Amino acid sequence: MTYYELKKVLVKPSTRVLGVVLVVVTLVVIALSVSTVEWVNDDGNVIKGLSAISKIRDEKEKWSGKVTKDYVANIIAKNTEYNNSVSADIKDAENIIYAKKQGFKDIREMINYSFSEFRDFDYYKIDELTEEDANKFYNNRIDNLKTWLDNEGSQLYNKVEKQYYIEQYEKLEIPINYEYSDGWKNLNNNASIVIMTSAIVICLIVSNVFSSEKQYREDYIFYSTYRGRNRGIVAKIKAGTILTTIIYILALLIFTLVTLAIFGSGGADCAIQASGLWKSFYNLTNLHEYLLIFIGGYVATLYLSMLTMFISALTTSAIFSSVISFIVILLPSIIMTLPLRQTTISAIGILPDQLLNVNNILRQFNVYCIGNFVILPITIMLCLYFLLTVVLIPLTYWSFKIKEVK
Amino acid sequence: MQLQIENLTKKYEDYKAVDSISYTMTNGIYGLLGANGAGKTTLMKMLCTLLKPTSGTIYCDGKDILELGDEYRKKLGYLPQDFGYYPYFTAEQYLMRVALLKGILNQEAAKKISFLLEKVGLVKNKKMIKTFSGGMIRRLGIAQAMLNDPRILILDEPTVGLDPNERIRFRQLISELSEDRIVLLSTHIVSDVEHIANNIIMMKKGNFKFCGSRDKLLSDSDISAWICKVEHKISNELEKKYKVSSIKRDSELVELRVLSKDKPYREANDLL
Repeated sequence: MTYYELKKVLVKPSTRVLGVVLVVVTLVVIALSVSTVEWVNDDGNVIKGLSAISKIRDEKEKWSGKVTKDYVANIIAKNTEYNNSVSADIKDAENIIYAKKQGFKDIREMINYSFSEFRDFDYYKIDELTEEDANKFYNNRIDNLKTWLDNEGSQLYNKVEKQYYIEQYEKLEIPINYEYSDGWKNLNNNASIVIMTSAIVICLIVSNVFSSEKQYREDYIFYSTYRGRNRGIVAKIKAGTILTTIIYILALLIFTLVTLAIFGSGGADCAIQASGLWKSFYNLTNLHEYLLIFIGGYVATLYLSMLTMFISALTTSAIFSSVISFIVILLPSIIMTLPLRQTTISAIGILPDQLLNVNNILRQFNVYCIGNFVILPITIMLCLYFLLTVVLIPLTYWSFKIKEVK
Repeated sequence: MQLQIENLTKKYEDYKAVDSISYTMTNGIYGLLGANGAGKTTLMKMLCTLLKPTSGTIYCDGKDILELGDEYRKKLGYLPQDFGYYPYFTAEQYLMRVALLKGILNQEAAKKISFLLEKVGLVKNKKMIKTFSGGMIRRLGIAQAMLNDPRILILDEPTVGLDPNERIRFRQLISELSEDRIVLLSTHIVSDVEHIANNIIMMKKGNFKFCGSRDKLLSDSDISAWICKVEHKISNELEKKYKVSSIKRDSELVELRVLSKDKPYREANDLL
């Protein structure tokens, strides 16, 4: 029965169109990340796209290693040396200097973060530093957080939360290891677009699982059969879950394999702090982040898919159920653009759209406290939406089972 | 097999689609006649557990069909008036899905499907159902209703869309299949049931106006079936005065099938 439920949805022309849309969006996301890669040659000429990727990788791989104080001092020294190596009068001087420095671009970014104010980023901060400043590289991270929590952040967080953030910062294993990890960086930064598109496509597809009977007037036959009001409904729920899982995994698989094939898979074990998340209090590697993004996205997509099926079973309307899912996915993002209180932000912070964008959660300072016990939003969301998905299964079953055909 | 209807009523707000009917059916073919809106489809939906009655009960061999639930539906075959199908399936795929919904196992289903497809003349058709003609779709509907060899077969306007030859074939099929089961067949074409139905039920405004054999219907009351093509105004008068088994309206005229002892209208033709 599940086979025929799957077949019913899969042979529909609209399902095929949606599948193509998802693949195209995935490939466009990858193409866009490829198009932004730049490599500058010794003459200061910029090369973009696929050919730049292998060249920049070679440059960056030269700087692999533990980011110790000596390592940072060396980077600061090299930066100063390269800045002074070319006269400003020469044509394309900036590009020629950049060509020398592009290999340690990521470490340069970490240094800039470390020595800028907590909420600021000064791209040229490293140019003001001396080798002695390297001693403060890791301490700055904690000191800047403490300063911020004592000032701007003082009203935003309670004592327990502040203490938790500081402890997490102190727990970061130093010196962190640096490797070329643009593959994982691109993957983790852009996965949310693919996941969100997958969720929308999946909701549109599964909205037909429970509404097709009414749409094609098959409900008379379905409900008058021996298995219609029991296994028939179970087959529908199974089909919806299988479709959700397969489409989600396929989309992520295409995105992951193509991205890693183009950018390389090195740097999986590097801390996320070395991949643009310097300020994150989550002590994770790039691979951990990817797995969290994958699991979080799957739980949210499964929940949204089940919600769509539930509304579809309740109303037998594919359009209505799709619209509700759209609202659940997109509305919080729109609300977040408005000026909001911290309590409202905290409440919105556990809506399912957040799980579709775990990378964003890792950038935020948001935890929930019960007394002295701190719970991470990601933990709450994973448990909450998994439980809600489980609860929706019998609700979907019963709301479809008791239907009358008027 | 006995199907007993007891004080069955279905109300939609103030409108009574079925009004306190009681009747008992045993094995045999029952022809349900009545004009559009008489309550035939509502009654059939309740017999198929698609609708719950406002009051009253339907018993199958002494047990409430709503309590029997799946066990009752296991014995049921139903062809709705508005027969829906999945347009992107072939006839075989569609029947296989319905067979599984009816709890028939794969191998048995495959045998049953090829038998029924041959019976309804769709055996070589491998095209999607969306390419089928109205008659082919109706034949497919009949095949799906027969898949589980039902003890209770409910057919709502089964001959709509069939050409005269197909209608004859359909009657033969129903006659062949009617042994040891209850067949309830609604139609507005009297000739569909005149030769095969053991019992005729006339329905009007939610009530059974006549129940009995065709012979009784015709001999006891000297009733004849008449077809009249009249203007809308006259149609209203005839509906009030006579038992009308069906009504078809177009913008100018109304075609009525009237059961009456006398010629109900000067241009009426005797059908039987």
